[in-house]
Amino acid sequence: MKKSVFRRVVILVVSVGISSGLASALLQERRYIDISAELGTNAPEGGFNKFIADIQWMLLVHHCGTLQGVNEGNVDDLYRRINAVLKNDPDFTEGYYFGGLLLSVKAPLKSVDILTRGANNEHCASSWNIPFLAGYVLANLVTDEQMPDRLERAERMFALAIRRQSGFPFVRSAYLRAKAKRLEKDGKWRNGIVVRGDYHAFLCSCYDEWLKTRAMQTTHATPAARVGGSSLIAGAELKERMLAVSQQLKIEMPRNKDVRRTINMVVEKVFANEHLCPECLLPYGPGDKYCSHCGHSVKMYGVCSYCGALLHGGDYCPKCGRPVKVK
Amino acid sequence: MDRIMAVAGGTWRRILRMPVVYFLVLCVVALVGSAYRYNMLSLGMHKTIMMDTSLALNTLAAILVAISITFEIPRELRSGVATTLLAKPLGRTQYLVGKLVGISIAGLVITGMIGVGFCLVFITAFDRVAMSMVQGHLLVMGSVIPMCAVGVLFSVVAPDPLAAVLTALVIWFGHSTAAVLGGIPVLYGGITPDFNIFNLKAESAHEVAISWWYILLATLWGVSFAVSVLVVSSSFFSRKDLR
Repeated sequence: MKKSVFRRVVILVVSVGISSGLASALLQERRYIDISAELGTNAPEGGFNKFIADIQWMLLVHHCGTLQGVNEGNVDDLYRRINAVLKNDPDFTEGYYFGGLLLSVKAPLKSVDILTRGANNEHCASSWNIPFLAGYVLANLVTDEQMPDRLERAERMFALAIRRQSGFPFVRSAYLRAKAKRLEKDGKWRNGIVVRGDYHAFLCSCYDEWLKTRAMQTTHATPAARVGGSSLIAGAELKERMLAVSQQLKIEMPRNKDVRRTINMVVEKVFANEHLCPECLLPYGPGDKYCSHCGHSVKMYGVCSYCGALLHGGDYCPKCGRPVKVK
Repeated sequence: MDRIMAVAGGTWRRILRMPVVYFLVLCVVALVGSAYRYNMLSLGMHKTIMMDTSLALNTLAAILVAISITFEIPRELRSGVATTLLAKPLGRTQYLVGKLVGISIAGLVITGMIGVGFCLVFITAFDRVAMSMVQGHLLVMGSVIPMCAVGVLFSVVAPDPLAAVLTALVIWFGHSTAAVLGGIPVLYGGITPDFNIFNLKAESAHEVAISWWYILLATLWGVSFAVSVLVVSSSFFSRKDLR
């Protein structure tokens, strides 16, 4: 073999080996960068996938401008167009949101499909509104016949939205309402209590969530309880919501046994030291014997146990001078 | 080395002296700038579109540079320039290496100019350029080397129109090899190219962080693949009958 040929063969073998090794390493490295690659297309588009997606997006926007509205006649075509954009650019956050929103009323299942893909895409993780919209469509526009587990999925989506953006109260409300709807659908709550209507269900869902908060605060909570019981909503907010709903339920369903049992449980566990009137659930002041709102007798507090004088704080009674007993 | 650089210098100087190159770069920058006006048509996605248009046009420029070499070498062979050069103490391999280096430098300068032009336009429009955007352009620049190597290979094995078509096809389908050959060692990345390595346009446009390690490895792959393609080209070229 001639020397130059031998040299060429050696260089070729070495360079092919290095290229192959580098390409494999890059393929591995790329999986960390391009995490949503499996959502994309394998069509040979010469590396212009994103550019094609941009053009398809502008065509879609233009096409939507020509429509009178979304209806049965054009919904499949819109779904196909949105999917074509998202196949070419699986990280297109606005595409998921706009697509989901566009189809939500006429084709909620298709809308959920698009939004769920967007919500589960880590490159779109900065967006809270995709899982929120997915949860909204699942909870309000999809029917049980179309998707029996829609409420569980809605809950998961709202939970994801709260984890991404906990600042909006309406996202937290939506999460609690989805939980309440599921409880209402199930019919039964804890201790054999039957769920009676949406307010009652909402109270139950708030209480369940509050228990999670308490589990997190308990020093002796098991690691499993801590993981499974992490609440997405602050305890103070849950208490405020529970009080408002309980007061409403007292007015709307005062005689219902299940409702009363639930309210009693909530007052006993959540508002044990809050001095609420057992009848109207409004707070009463120190020294009050009767509720100033409903006239119901209440358990008095804030008075000296020896002389009955109103205490102003501190360690001694301002009238008899005896030390204040703390029960 | 001096002989190689002489051939390379002749190649890139000739390309970069053409006024049409700068006119095209200007057109590309103007097109990128005009994407700013797509605000309404894209529902506020003009920033991403501007970024992506620049990357797509820069890639197109890189491909055009790679295709240009498929006309350059046969033209020199036909006109006798190559024969005159090779009559001097210049090896055929050195000639090809010089051509590849020359066209790669021209490609890097052109894609670099487009990248810089984009950055200026983008800063004017949005006040800042994300690092991922610069990295996206650097990857496009890195893709010039293996693409030009493919152009050199076809320019020595096929007549120029066919060589241009074959180069374009290999570059086009070379972006999709990972899906088909991704699991086959040696074949994937060693024998068949994967130009998609340089395609992180979506990530750049969405401002996803790209590691410098990845860019370094990709550039190394480009150089290494270009070497292997050049060895094959040289083997064909050394057997070619030059008149």
